Amino acid sequence: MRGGGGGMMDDGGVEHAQIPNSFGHELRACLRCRLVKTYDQFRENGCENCPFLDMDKDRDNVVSCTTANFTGIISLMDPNRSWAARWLRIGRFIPGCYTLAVSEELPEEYQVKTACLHSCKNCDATL
Amino acid sequence: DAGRGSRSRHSIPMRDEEEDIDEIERQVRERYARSTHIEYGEEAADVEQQALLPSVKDPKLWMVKCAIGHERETAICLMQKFIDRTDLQIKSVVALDHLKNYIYVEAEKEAHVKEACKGLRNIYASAKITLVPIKEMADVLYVESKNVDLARDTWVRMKLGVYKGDLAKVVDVDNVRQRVTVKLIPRIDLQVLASKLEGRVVAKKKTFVPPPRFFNIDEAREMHIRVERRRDKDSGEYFEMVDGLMFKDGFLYKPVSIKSIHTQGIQPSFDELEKFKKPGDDMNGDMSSLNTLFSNRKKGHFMKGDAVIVVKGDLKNLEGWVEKVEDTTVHIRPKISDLPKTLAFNEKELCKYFKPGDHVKVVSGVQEGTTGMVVKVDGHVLIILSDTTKEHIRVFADHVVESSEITTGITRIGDYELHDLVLLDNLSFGVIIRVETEAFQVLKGVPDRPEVVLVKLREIKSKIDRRTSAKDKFNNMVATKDVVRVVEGACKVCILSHLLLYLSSTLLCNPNTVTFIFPLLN
Repeated sequence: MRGGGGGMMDDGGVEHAQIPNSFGHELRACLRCRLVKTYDQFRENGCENCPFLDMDKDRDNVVSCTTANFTGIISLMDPNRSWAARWLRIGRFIPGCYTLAVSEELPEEYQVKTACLHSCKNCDATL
Repeated sequence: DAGRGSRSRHSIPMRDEEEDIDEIERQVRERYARSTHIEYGEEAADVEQQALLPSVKDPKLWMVKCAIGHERETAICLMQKFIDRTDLQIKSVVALDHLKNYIYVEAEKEAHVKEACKGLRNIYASAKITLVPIKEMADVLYVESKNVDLARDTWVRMKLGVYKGDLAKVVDVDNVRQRVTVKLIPRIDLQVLASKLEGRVVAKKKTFVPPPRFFNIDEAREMHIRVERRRDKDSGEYFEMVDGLMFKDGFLYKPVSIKSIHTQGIQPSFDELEKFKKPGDDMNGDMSSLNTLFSNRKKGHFMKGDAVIVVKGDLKNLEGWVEKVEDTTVHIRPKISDLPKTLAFNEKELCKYFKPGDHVKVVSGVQEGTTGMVVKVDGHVLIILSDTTKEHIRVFADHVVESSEITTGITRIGDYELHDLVLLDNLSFGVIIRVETEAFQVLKGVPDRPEVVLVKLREIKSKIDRRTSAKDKFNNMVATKDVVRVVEGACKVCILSHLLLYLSSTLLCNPNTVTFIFPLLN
């Protein structure tokens, strides 16, 4: 199941997440899908794979659901065919820059939102 | 209330107390049983990961040389390029933190890689492209999991600079900026500092490392160093500031980047921990050192038959023997017969137990290699009488195993050996009275105020080799290697080793204060 909804679509192009527009300490990784963008990008456009985390609605969500503590970067162009994406379990997400590993966990209150996504279609995602 | 209605389906509804407990239990079980069927995709057993190994049908991985320091940038640029012109046929690009100068590109053909890298500033046109063997592909993406909680009071070791190798305690963590504040025993050369603050140019002493010493405000003020008392706005505590450095209770509080400290496998030696102790701290109650100790334990630490003692929890101080070990649970047969046959404990609640009289060998830590007899047991700390030096040494029970082996001990590290007179820095020198695994115990000071310090190899400047002689109380000539007897003070026979006499205990005698010695033989 595609996580998305928030991806960017160029004319005739492929749906993809925003590309990080800097390489410094502002880079953060989403704790659920491991997408890498800058703090500002998450704050403005949320996470394309995890819109239910509402990062664009409240800056606390960005702070809680992303981390600057991550290792390595993988630019994913073709999630369907990429072996690396399958191995890293990001094959179901949209093309974008991801990190290989994060050293923190998504806080429990947000994990519930993720769980709901999988099981209850009727549940209002904003608990 | 319509919204409420749809939500109530998923929350536990209020029920009368008469309701059947079993019914509620059944519902709860049903509700949460469902979760095991949900495919999260994030958590999977190792077996499932095996199924994802690359096959010949998958794209290949190519290693490409790029400009050093720009690996991440290159990966992101390639992503941008893919967006701009979707005819790029590469599947992914990987930039590893620990691999400099190279990136990995995933593609079906080498030609696709070449095409993608054309025109990129960070990849030279002639750049080498190497195919990664299929068996090594999974290793490329392997990431070491760092399970370290960098919490307050964790022990770490400095990686670089003056304090390289020194033990430090974390006092504050800033995850956002990837920095921590650590507490260290300062290595300050007060003279150099004083000169610097007065604006005098000081010739830089190369490779000279000041020995660790607690910071003393009065000493500093004596050298005309200005010490300011300031309040730190974040913690609200008072610090003494000198030249931008923060001190409190004699310790140096230094903000450092997380990258400059070792967090794994830190084994604080007994002496190091003792130095950090505030007076009144109970070594056994020091939870942070216990935690570091337990996390350093290797698997299979406890074996059937080991004598153990409980160190945490309600059953603290209960002794027993290991019956069975299962992962992190250890089953022991308690010493007291009134208790059930076996009790289960988490391995972190137990420590190996030794009785006075046990002969043991130290297998890890600074005292590694030493053998001796246990003379006292104090919680998880043992006092052992060393076979070689006949001294009492303190070690953690964790670092010791029962053994009948007796070692001869080491007497030298590098250029320096036992009983050498060495120069530590311009203000002090002393005699090596003990050689340990990584450091020396040096006796310095003056006769009335002897001081034994632990000194590392690199802190020793040079050996002092003087061949003069002195006179004793009765005007007899005394030279090195003479056996003398101390007239005043303790009367132990000792070997005169240098002009600075010392006894095999910790007394220091100065030949000029001639009242102290008296030759035994002529």
